[in-house]
Amino acid sequence: MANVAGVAGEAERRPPAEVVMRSMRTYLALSMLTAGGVFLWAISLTEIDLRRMNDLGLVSVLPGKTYLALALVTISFCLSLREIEARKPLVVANVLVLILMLYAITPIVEHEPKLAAAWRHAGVIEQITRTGHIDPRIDAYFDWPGFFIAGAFVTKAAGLGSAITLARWGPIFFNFLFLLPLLVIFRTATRDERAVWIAVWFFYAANWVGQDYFSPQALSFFLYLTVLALMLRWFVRSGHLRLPARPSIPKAAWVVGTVRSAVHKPPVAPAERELLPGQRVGLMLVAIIILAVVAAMHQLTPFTILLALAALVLANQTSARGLPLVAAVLTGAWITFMATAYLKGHLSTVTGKIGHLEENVQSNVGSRLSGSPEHREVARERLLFSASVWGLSLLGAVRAFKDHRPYAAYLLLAASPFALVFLQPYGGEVVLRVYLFALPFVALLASSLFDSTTASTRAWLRTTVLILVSAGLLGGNLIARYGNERLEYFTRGDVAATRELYRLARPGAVLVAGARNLPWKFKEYDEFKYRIVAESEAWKRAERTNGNMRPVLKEVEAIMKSGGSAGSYLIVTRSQKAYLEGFGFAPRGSLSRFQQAVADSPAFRSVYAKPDGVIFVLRKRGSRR
Amino acid sequence: MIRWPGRWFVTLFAAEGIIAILFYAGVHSPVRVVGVLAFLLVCPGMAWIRLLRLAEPLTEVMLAIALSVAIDAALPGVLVYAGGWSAGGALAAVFALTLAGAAVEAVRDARRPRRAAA
Repeated sequence: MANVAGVAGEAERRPPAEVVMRSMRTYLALSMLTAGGVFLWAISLTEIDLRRMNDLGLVSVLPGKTYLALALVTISFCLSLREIEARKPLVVANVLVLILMLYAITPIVEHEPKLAAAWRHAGVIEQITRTGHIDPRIDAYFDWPGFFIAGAFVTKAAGLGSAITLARWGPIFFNFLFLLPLLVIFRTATRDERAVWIAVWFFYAANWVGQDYFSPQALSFFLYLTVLALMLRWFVRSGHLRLPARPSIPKAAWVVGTVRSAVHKPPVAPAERELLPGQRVGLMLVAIIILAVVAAMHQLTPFTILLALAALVLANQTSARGLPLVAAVLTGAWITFMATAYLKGHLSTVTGKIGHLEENVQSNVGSRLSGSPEHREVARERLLFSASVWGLSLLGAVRAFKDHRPYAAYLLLAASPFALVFLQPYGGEVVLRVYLFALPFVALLASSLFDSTTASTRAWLRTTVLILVSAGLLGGNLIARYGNERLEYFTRGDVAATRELYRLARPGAVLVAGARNLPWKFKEYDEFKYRIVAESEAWKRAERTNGNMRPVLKEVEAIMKSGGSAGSYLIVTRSQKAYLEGFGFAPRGSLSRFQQAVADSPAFRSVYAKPDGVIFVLRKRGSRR
Repeated sequence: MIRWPGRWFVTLFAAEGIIAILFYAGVHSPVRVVGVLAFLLVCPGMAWIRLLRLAEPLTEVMLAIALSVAIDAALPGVLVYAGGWSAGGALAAVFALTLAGAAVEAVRDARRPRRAAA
């Protein structure tokens, strides 16, 4: 009898067939939207003509279908979120599709890996594979060789001829990899799955800085996320966001009391209480191993982790009080004992800018607003885009603050990377890195604006605003992320010319390029001497004397004569011209004028001439060839 | 589903055997590329992370990948700095460390029922 009543009760609770059917129809319709988006995106890739690209980057050649595809997936994602319990697989599918759409465009449409740095990284790996040695005298890469050693091992074990094969797929690989720690971090912060997936969505929609190519920083960013995810999941008890209570006792005594309680009462996260002693030790060991490897992998990331851990300890958010000290010792030990070759020559570069905030910001922001008019537009858009993302996050933080959410640790982790700006300009890139390191936590705070706590009466408004914000972020991302694409990508012609250069040149030869942007140094890294024409004194003088190329030719000839019996080669490629013009390092057409002057000069002769690249050698005295 | 102690050890041993054959036979194929990359990305770390019994698959995979990356950098790194670099040597060291983790788990799993019975 009881069973009959139970079954009847269950039947009453079950939604009517109509509702189920309606829900299924919506599910199907949203799935069709996603599938349609993928289909459109795939078609749109075939219509991209990179040759027509201008200095606005990829957006100048993206067909309308690409935007429509992104819009369909965005709508499907935002509508799926309305009933996330029932539509979770679709939400996840939309995020995976978004990652593919945003980060697989260039690996698919460009036939060669982009960025000269990725080719250099493959070269360092080839050097280690070939010689089995680390020579820190070559350059700084060999002082932090963790990534390159792992790359050498993996490349050889997998039977690949060169790490270049892996480099092409770097962005898509790393972005999928980031998803794991992001989910752990966000699920630790909130039980609201809606907020979790919105934060993930925001992270990918706002990750424009392009540090996910085949590089030590991409891999160490994954390790950075993993260490913080591990800490947040088990060893951090994130406090509530609230203003500190006004002390009723004298200020000095209050400060002393607060510090004393912070020292004597380590906060223990509920998850940590559930850990067995062995698990706790094991997790700490994993964290320490990762910290040690990061210290040997990248210059900046260990300091970012150190800042993050120190901030958590100082704000009394974690019980793992010794970990910042361990991180500091590991980082310091690596620099002191293993990176001495770099420090000897660059100590003033490393320490000279500490505290020079204005100068560091200027070298990161002001000096980037240069170049061709289109490039300046892109640079301005990046500033606006980054400011908008931070603004959105600030609004989210206010909302989280009002709701007394336990986001104190996350707010700290969003803020701690900003301390890097006080330490280093990092070659004009520190603001980019700060943006990336803060982004996961910035995305989490921004997601507070759209989570499930919004009143259900305003649910449609919330969804509409989320669609609009997502559209703004995705549009902005395409401009900001791919704004340098004309300068960063390499055609088959660029690569063919460079491969021919290495086929011709013997070890010890001097390789001269018009500018530093070409796919070289990917093999025999230390076997050649490299020189750049556009960085010579004569080139700078030529710019001041209305482009008179004669002194430049003389200097290049002198450099090439220094090659001796091993020979010298001058290479000029399409990518070099795009780089100089786009960044405004030289007036438009100046490298082409230089190339023409070399071709007309009796001192040089061409040994390779294709539309995207030419190679010259010195003509032998008395020779007509 | 049949569960027996050491199944993870046996699986890893078999995977390592296949990779070793592909490596030493000098087979160049996409199967080798995918197999080696997948193994080196997940297995060395997973062999040790499983010992922690975290019961959170997502977190376990995250930590396993991070630890694998660390192992793939650290063990060959030791060989490079010791002047004894070879891809085969590094692969053997990674295989040994992976099997060691799996062996510890197998021994622990094998002892557990006996303890429970006692």
